[in-house]
Amino acid sequence: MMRPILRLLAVTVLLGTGAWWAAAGTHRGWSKNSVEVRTLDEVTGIEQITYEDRFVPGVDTVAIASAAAAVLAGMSFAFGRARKSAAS
Amino acid sequence: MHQSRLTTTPARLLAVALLACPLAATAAEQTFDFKDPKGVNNATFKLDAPLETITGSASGVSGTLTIDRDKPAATKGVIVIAAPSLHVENAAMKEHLHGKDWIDSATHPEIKFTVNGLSDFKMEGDTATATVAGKFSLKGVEKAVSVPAKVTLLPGLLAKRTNGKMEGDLLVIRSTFTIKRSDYGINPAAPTDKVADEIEISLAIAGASPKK
Repeated sequence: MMRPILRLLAVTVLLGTGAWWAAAGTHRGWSKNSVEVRTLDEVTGIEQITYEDRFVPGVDTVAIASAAAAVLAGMSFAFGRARKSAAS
Repeated sequence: MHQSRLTTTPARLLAVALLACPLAATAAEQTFDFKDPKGVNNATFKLDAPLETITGSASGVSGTLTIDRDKPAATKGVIVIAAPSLHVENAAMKEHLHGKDWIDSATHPEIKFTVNGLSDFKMEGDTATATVAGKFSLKGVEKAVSVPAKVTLLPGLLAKRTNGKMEGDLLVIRSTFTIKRSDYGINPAAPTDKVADEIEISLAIAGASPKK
């Protein structure tokens, strides 16, 4: 029972993170904790730069999710082997 | 001055006044203050390495410049950027940036550009281009630099910027130049395929000169 659950969880984590990363703009750098906002100052023509606190997943988030999915998938094989040993 | 001209009382008084006040500003001199409570003034930086591009900005700008419109080459002053105001979008990277191996903002809280003069001065309407000679100081290391700049005078627009509270002029300066982080002891051991040695710095700042 655990085996398919763990594998489903692994696929969910991998695909879910991939979808999140794609929806957030497939940012190929490190994850961001704040995002730049530029506002034009009409008097001087200078763009004011401020930052909005917002998390944007980057390649490190995808890498962590991939590693987590691999661990879950690996655990699923261990559960399968244990059940076969118990049955015999 | 010819001796005969000094015998007249007004000329003698003027000569005495000028001799007594050697640092008095001439009529063509104007001092602009770049401290900006609204935080519009900024400097951005970019390190473009083969494996990674790092960008960020700083908003803690201050300093003054004194410009003589009759002698622009004699422009002098200093622009200061508060090192703790440097920001990158990744929190862990920002912590490293301010650490001892990188800009060490706790020990060296100011990044300075000291202006010693202008050359190659060209006017195009209210905008001038020039080469700015000076010294750039970062992480306790000071080096002579010569960078291009575009300077725009906005006469009378200080009132618009301060919602009518102050009358005066604005001076907008834009400049983009490159330094090498290894020249300033900024983690010279960091691999250049991940953190470029060249740092492109762009300044976009406006100074205010209130009418007295």
